[in-house]
Amino acid sequence: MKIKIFYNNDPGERINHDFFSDKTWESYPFSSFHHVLNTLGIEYEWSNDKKDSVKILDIGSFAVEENLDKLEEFIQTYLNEFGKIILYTAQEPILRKDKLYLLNKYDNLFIMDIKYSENPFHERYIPFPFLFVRLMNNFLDVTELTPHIQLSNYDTKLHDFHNLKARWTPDKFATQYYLNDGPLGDNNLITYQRPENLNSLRLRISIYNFFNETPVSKKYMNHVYDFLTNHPTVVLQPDKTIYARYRYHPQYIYDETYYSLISENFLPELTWLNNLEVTTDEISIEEILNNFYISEKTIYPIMQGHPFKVIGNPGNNYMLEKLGFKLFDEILNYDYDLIYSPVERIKQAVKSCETFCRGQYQKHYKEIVDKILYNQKHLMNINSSLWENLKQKMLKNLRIYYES
Amino acid sequence: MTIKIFYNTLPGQKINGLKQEAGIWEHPPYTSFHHILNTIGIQYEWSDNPKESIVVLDIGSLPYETQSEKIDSLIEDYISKFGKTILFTSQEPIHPEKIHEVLDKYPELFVMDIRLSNNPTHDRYIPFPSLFARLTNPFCNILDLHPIVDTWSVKKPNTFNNLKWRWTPDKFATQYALNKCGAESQAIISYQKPGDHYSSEHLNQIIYDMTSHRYDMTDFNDKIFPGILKFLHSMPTISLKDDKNFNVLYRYHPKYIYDDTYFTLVNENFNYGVDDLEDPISISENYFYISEKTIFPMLQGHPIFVIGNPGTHYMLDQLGFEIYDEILSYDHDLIIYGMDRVERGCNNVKHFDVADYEKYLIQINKKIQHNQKLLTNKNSKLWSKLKDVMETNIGKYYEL
Repeated sequence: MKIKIFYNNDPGERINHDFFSDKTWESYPFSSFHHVLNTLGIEYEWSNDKKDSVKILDIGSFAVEENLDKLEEFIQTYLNEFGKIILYTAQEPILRKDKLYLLNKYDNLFIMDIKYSENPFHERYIPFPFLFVRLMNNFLDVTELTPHIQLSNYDTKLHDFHNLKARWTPDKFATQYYLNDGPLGDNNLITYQRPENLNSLRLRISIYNFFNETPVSKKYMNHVYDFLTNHPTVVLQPDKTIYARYRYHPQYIYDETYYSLISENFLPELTWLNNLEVTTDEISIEEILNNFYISEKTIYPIMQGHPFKVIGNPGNNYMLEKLGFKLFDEILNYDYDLIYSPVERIKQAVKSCETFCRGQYQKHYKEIVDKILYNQKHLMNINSSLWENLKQKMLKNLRIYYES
Repeated sequence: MTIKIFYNTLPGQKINGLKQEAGIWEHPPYTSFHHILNTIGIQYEWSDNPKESIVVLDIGSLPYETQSEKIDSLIEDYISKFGKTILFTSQEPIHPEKIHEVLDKYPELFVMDIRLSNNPTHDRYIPFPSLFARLTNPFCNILDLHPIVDTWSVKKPNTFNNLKWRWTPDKFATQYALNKCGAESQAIISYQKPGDHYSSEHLNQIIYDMTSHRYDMTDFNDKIFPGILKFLHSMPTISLKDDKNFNVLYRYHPKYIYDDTYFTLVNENFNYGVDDLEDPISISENYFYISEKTIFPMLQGHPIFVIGNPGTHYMLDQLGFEIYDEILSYDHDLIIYGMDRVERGCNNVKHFDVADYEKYLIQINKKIQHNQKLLTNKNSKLWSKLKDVMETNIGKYYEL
């Protein structure tokens, strides 16, 4: 299969200059797709022939669920002009219901968002976990790592873990709430961002829905709202200014902690209320394999070389192991990982942090370092099984596009 | 062959010898060797058995040319303790004469500096152009590229950019030649005056050595050289506006130096002398040197014109890079005499005509993309070659 990427102005530039131009992290006419292929080591050519090439409609971080009508206008225009197109974002996941709607409605449409799926729910859904590539490609992200962090200072680390939450979301708020509900809140390196408009009805509803996937008392919710009102923004000191293309954490958050407690974004479709098909307390393995989401929040600490546990979508840690990463089960408990209920998963995850034992870290130090190096090599060595898997995944996606 | 890297404290950390090394850009216990293997895609394991594994003595930027006593002492320490050792730097080239000197002195030593050699001149000289790997590995360098620069405009305020961060005689010679031929006024230029650590006598000597390396010495001593010295004293430091602080681990250029110019005049370090009777091609094939100065503008996507060691473009061509001969003459490239090469290069730059750029706009942009892809696509001919070179090097280490 010879891969050709379509251009209509100049090779290397994006084909769509429209409503989506300011939705990508890089400004127009930058196109990320060929950079992704470069990092994966996939050969391609440029073509201005619509018939034999891959046409990419890059929507960046455009909020699909809120602007579906607008998006459909563009999809129709592009399908009319180019025939087959890939609705593409290397930045965000798109909700399953929206993907299903669009794919069922438009026969020549393919969708490639940043999820990973072993068995996608639709034959023209061709997801790819782009953040792995973004963090390794100099055109997509500026990744500032610390050449070497302190791991052997087991007697002088100040905190058990760090937990970074730069942007407010209901799941990060819930994590903060449960961290503060127990003994962990005061003793660890934790950041938190207050929401902008505390009295917004939408905000209150989102919190209510998140906490009430199994009904809780009014008194309990009042306590939650009080916490929302009173908890201040907590930032790292010192830190650098955050922006999407620049990935950086200060060295001390690694030097002073034993592990990273990662708050990965929760996908709305994987919450109890949004998926009525689930009847058990634990998510099925099939569901995990088909709905994996990973962002720089998880990848960066692994790359930096730190033990980690992820509070994210159900099965996040399971899936990392499935992708070849090693978990740190000598020192960290991941039993919460498959719990389907978001609140329960967060509660159990936070609870499991209370039992962390510094002595175990010291005892297993050599094994931990071996795992750290293994994970780093898995992420950074372009000949690792991870990168071979990613390359094959993209080739399979492109084959589906060409053969369909 | 299972490649094993030796450690004596912890895997992933540099070997603790009896004496402290210095000059590595990153703080100990950092070591870059396995990061380079990762970027090239070579699998390896860690081992604490020096007999079956690769022992790396990383000297960073410690120059063998002036610090041979200290480095010899480190080598002896390593060899006596671990046996076979690679004297390794992923940061600097070592002068060819010194490579032979140290290899002849220590039969269990291998040398891996940052050159590339098609025909290594010693069976234990195993160079590797590490800057290709360093620039794309976030553990070795932070690379701050601009997602896109303007290479399509034909109404740019300047013809070229020419950055000269640290004073060296070759950069000074370029500044002098650009000024003399009148090309300086068309360019975005940076230049740094020589530091105070140079004595006047030493400075005059190294400038003399550089600028007198020419075929025709008529009037040089009486007229030309005094003028050169006068230029040295009158030329001020020129910095880029809106620049960030220089740092060897952080690679960044402001966007306007690319948007506002048609090409980059790269001053690559002159780091080996070429005898007047030697063939520049065979010399460059043996000791090719490339640094971030050349790689960064190509990665960023800008046409380049390098004034460096003889045969630099010849070797870039061999590695698969395209040169921009529609708009620039590269006939300076194989000139043996250093000052003649610099002056011819500057004159070639002066003859750039924007009409040619406009005429060949599409071809130029195709070449830019070709070079970028060669550098960034991990399945490209360049990366396959780099992997082959490193595997051959490691094979030699294990076999000898």
